[in-house]
Amino acid sequence: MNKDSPLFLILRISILIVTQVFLFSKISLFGFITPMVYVIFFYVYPTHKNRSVLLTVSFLMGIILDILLDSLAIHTICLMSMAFLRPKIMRFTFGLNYELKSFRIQKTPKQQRYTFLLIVVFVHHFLYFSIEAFSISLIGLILKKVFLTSIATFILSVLILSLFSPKKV
Amino acid sequence: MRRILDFLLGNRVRLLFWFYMALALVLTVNNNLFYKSSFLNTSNEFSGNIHLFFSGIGDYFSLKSENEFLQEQNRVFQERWANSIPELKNPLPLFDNPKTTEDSLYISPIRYTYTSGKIIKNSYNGINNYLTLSLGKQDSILQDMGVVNDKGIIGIVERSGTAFSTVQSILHSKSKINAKIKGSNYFGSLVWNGENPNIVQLTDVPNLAPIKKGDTIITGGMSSIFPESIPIGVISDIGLTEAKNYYVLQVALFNKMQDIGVVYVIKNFNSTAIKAIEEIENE
Repeated sequence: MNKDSPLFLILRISILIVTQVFLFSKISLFGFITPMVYVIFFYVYPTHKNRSVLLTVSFLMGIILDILLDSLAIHTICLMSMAFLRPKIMRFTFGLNYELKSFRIQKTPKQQRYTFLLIVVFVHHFLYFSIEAFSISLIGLILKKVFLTSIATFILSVLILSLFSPKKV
Repeated sequence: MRRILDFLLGNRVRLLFWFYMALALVLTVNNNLFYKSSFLNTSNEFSGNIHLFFSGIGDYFSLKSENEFLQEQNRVFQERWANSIPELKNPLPLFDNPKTTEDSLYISPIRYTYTSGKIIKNSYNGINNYLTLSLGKQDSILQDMGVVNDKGIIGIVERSGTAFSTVQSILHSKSKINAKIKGSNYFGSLVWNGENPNIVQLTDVPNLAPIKKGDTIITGGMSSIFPESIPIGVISDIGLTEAKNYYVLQVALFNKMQDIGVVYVIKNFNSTAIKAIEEIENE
């Protein structure tokens, strides 16, 4: 099956949602670290597809996550922002290569890929926890959560991505 | 006209983004202010059934411990029954069914009933936590009923759907529950600062109150939601507010909020009467 077909996209998103809601959201490392692994969606989503489609898909995914997790519409806001910021982050990490039509994240050097993932995770988590608390007096708690949860999400994401990446010969 | 079209087509990604973003922001703000009236929560059939299915898988693993716990609880009740005063063993006079009485000032002889249910979605990591309960309007569960289990209080029903309801956990930034120190009449409000899911804070206790570490905190009975003397936790640390006139007590909960299964929803039969009287007072 073609990896960029809409059916494959829907399958990927449903797996990400189900694992997030019923597996990763139930993890509570040291009492407060809950990894949000669904952000690897921005890593696996094909690069040069229609941006309107990416925005719409992120919106729907966010709404479903919010309905299942009782989190108002915070996941939606974060996913939307990330979908909008993704090309900018990509241009920042991959430079001119990104402009090429044949560009694929999987073919770039490891350092660039992981930098990209780390930036996505960090920005997403920062947005999420700031909106969730929505109070400047909790800034210490927010930063602590952002920093530690980002590390946990990043490690888990790298493990999962390397598990499902195509074998290099 | 052409230029408008060109503008719209040229900026379609940006416009689409702002459209979705506005929608999401409206949903968040609306939910924050009027949580009860929105569709974005787990009390609807769709997410309720999904959570029910997945929690059903996990249920089998806790059957043994659940069984042992029930046996132990039964033993306690048997013992209490055997040691109670004979006159009290007579059942309450059920001269009429409280459910059929519609009079708003009617005081029922049965004050509270407990309905047992299950928490099918737990949450304790966020700053505003909601739980999902496998009971809804069809089990006559309504908004503002208290939720407890054998160890202590859990939360208050926030919104009830047909078959599921959402419960505002005591681990919620807006949760405020009347509580007191066991053996005294000093009251305070139970709040949560968002940090540790096993520790909540008791505020507004005047600094005259005689307290020490290890004192038990129970519900105060000053609201129509929880009956008096339901256990909450013990004082683990004592602090003062900046003005030094009130205590800020750290309360270690008896409940493990990460592990909640069977719960009881408390219905107060006199809540309508209490509310009616409060309304008269306010006029």
